[in-house]
Amino acid sequence: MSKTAKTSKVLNILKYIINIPNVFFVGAVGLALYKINELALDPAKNQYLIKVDPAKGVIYQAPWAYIAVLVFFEALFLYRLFRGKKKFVNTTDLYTIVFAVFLFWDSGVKIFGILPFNLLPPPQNVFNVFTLDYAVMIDGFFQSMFLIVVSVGLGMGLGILCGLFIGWYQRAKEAISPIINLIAAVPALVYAPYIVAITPTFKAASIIVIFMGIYFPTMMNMVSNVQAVDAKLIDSAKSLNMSSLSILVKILLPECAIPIIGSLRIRVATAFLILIMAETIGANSGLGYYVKRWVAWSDYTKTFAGIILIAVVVTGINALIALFERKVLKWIEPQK
Amino acid sequence: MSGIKLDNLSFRYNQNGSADYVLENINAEIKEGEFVCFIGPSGCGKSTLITLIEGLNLPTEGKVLIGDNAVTGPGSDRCVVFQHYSLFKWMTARKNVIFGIKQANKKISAKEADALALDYLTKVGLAENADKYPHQLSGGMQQRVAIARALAMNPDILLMDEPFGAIDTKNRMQLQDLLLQLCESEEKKRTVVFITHDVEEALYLADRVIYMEPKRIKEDITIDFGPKRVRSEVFASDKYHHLRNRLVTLFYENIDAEVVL
Ligand SMILES: Nc1ncnc2c1ncn2[C@@H]1O[C@H](COP(=O)(O)OP(=O)(O)O)[C@@H](O)[C@H]1O
Ligand SMILES: [Mg+2]
Repeated sequence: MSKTAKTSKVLNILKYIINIPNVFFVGAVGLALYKINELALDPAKNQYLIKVDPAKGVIYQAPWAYIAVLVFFEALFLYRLFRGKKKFVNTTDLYTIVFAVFLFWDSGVKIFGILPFNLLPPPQNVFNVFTLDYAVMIDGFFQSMFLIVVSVGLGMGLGILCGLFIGWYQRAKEAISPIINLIAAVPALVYAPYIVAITPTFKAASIIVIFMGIYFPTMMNMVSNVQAVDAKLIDSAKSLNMSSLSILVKILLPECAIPIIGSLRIRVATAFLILIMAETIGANSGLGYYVKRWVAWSDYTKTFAGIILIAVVVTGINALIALFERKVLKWIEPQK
Repeated sequence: MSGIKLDNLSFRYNQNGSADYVLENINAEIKEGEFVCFIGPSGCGKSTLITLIEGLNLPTEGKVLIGDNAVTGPGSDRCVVFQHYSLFKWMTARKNVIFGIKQANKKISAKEADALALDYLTKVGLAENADKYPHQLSGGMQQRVAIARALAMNPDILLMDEPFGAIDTKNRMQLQDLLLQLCESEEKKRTVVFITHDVEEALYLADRVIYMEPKRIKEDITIDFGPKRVRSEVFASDKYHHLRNRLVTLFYENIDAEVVL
């Protein structure tokens, strides 16, 4: 092997080890430990870095939660780099940004003082909240998910069924669609406070509000899908001797409703938007309530943790829905 | 009895309005077991005629008779293959065929239907692709599935509306041969009404070619190249050239008439 070939091979291996994300990662971990004692001993800044246990006295909370998050991203980065399908530079670009954000956040608060400590606490404080409040968070997660699943399920299910019939019976469409258009024109966020105010329990109120926000768009979507069905498809179903009812259920329903699953992601995002808004008005549990409560207490460390939690939950659910779509919509032509 | 009789048939869309007639006083008789091609310029009413035979539309005046009975709606004695849209895209090829079989014969067991479906998919050369979805199959393969489904439903009358219209030449030839072979090999001699705008296709496939001009039948030509015809022999024959010229001339006349207008 020639000398240049050898060198280029060594360089090639080196670029997996010495690259900007890796350097930033090491820097971020170092920075997480830097001045940690000072932080913990300062009563104004030790929020959630020190935990008092009556039996054992003071327990020092090192920034392990934050470091665990950094390590998680680093592991993800290395995995993507060696196993991923994306180009080398795309992966390094992305993780450069990820670690740069953490570095900027931590150093901006702790070292340079660009970011005000009280309004934006450093990441080690924020991530420690998860180790303290996980029980409340998990409970809030399930409360919120329950409301989302029930109301999105009802909204989409009934929306699809009503849309199917209204789209099929021209006369029903003529009669109903102006009314529906009027109702659907009002964003759910507008009447949410009103419904929360007049409904006895918060759960019922948020189910109603999310339901309205999901039901009307789904139904209108379904009506237009049914009307756009090519007459030839219906002809070919009729030529298989199908009755009107079975054409409706066996042909139009899958033909028009399954593409609506493609809009599930938007609907769930809308549902979260409405729910979290509603929770900030009238709930006493849930993800939105958690954020609202700590904002009211001016505890921005917990506020921030709550916001990160919502981001993670929504992203995770989106990923699950995408997976579900790929499984269910196998027959849909791959989008090019 | 599965002969078709078009008895003084007239039709217009939008029956109560003032729409023009699309078909006027059509009279024709198609014998049981005959393979008839309708050919003519686009818009002359060929597809409309198929919907009338199938019962998707009902005549404004006159009757369509199958045997001795007037058509009042779709029936399991007839089956249509369209150019597109014949298959349901959320079902695999096999499920599509099974669906058709179950529609035609509600009492059949799931196992029998599955075996029958696979049998017909094998006949059209798609046994290996039975579990693919329509979008994973080429246009020609999709039409093979549609034909398999139509035949598996065991209709007396097979109606085909430009089934190979969107398929490339080579595949179209293969499909034509497959169709002839399937029609000849089955024990039941089916009546086939086949629509096309391709003169060669009509001549090669049909026992009889009916040329339509807008609204009416212009000419009714008996072909009959006999069973087990060979494409190269048919195309080389004088009879073929003679008939081809005659049909092509009919298309020309039509163009000239339009130019004069
Ligand atoms: N559903 C329909 N409603 C109204 N007019 C139609 C409809 N379908 C076809 N037509 C008209 O009927 C005539 C014949 O159409 P068609 O039977 O499709 O002709 P072809 O199949 O020979 O091309 C055309 O003028 C066409 O515009
Ligand atoms: Mg046509």
